[in-house]
Amino acid sequence: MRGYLLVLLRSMTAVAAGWAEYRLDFAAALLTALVEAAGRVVAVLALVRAGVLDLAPAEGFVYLGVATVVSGFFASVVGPNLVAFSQRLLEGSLEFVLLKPKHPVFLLLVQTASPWGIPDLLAGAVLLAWGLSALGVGAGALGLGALALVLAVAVAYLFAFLLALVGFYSVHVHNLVNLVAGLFGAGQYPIRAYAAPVRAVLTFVLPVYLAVNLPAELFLGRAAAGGVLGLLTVLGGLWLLADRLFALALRSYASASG
Amino acid sequence: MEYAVVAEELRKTYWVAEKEPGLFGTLRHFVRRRYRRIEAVRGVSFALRPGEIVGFLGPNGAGKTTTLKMLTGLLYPSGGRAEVLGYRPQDRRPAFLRQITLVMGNKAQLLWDLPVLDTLRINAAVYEIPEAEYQKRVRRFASMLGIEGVLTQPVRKLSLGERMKAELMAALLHHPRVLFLDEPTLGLDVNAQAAVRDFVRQYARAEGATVLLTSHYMADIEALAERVIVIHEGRLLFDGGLKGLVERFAPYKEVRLDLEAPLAPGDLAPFGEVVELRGQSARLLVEKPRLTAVVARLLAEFPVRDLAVEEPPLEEVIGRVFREGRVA
Repeated sequence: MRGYLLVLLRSMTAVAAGWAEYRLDFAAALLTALVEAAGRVVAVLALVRAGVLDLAPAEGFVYLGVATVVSGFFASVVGPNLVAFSQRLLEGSLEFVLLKPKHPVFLLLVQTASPWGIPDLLAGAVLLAWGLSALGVGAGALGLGALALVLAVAVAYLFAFLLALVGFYSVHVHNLVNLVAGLFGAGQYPIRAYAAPVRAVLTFVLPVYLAVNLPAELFLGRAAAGGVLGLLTVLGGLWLLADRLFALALRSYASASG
Repeated sequence: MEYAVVAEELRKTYWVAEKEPGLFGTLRHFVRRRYRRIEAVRGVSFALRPGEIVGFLGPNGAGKTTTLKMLTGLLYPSGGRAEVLGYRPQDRRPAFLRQITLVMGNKAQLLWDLPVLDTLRINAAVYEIPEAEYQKRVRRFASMLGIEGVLTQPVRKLSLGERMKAELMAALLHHPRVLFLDEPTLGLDVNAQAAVRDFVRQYARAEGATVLLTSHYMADIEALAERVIVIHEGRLLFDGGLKGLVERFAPYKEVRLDLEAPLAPGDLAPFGEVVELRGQSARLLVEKPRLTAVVARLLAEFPVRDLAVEEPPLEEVIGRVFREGRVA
């Protein structure tokens, strides 16, 4: 485990060093995300005031905060790594990952990161903090919600990775990544705001409820603490599935001619 | 362990989608794909003893890289058996991966925007190399390759030669026992090629490493390998010593002539195969049994200023092997 943590630390240090090479790009990402975050706040406030969501404004901010953090995680980590994975399949440079004596799925999940999601992560954290402090949420719910949030982004990430394994057969997965990120965006509103069939899809087909709504509800004390165990179980299942499906897909890997 | 690397009737078949050009072809390709079966490797067998350096030769598309990828566990063989250091490569066990490396001249593992040292530090973490040992290896390799001064520069700013040397550093940092080198000198100038060759030779000697090397530069093969394996269209053509390759596929000697006066192209034809005729200089291939008689006749019939008899260049021997596709 220590070895994996060191790889993660050094990879992320290298990624940060890479950002430092392109300062203007980072500044542009910051500006874009601040504008986007402001737009989302306005939308949620409008829905809360109209009474559509049946929430107090502070509760709305908690839902939106979690969704914005998940969205930032997609923009910073999930998207760039899955696109890099697809690129490796395309160019045949997956070799350098497969030749390393660490789990290839782990190495593929931590190979890069983008600064484009950082502003969303920060904006999400601010919204969350704002909503939670306005509601006076206690330390227990805070800890439970924070733990659930960490597990939730991991669930969302592994789910997206499973879909990206299609890349072994179809190479380009860029559009798929965008689609998944968009679908997780649906979690910025409580799932009960959607029609029953959509709710079923967002709960049982796509883990949007688990990855976005559940942490918010744990923060708000609207879900039972057992939800964390549920997240942990789903995460373990997804990891096993990713491990097996990756090994299976590898049998079809033809590499690029070289 | 008797053998470090074993390939036994190794086969690889895969399917490739085919597409006709133009709009109609694109539409048909989108709706209904047509696939063609490619037999990249068709039952190749060989074995390498620990510490051996072996040249792996073949024209483009012969199946060299596919064989290397099966031996490193990157591709699943469609048939036959591969074994490296006692492991089944396709199982990709960490203990196996810690002991091998694959260097590809046309692919890079270095992080493009960052200095070489950043990639090396990540590799040190991946292979769990202790810090002091990591520093020692970096110093040693950088000194052997003469790139001490460029390790803190972004990779994108390095010359091709420096980049390849740095790639070698990254690939050998964990001190692998088996090296699979796929065109490691591709595109490099003569000096960089020589430096890479020297480094590989020194490393292999110091670590007792086994090396399987593909290269289009015969100088690499001649400098490093005593044994060569030749494949063509996925089949083994030859496995043996370099000298044996020349004797088997080039039963002739090269005669170099320097004459007092220029000759017409037809003048030398009766003596052997004229490879080159430039003014007063000529090169011709003469079958070994006829050599003495041909040399005597050349000296008697032409105003010869200088004459030398040599083995034909390896490139020409290999070229003939591929053109004629003779099976061992």
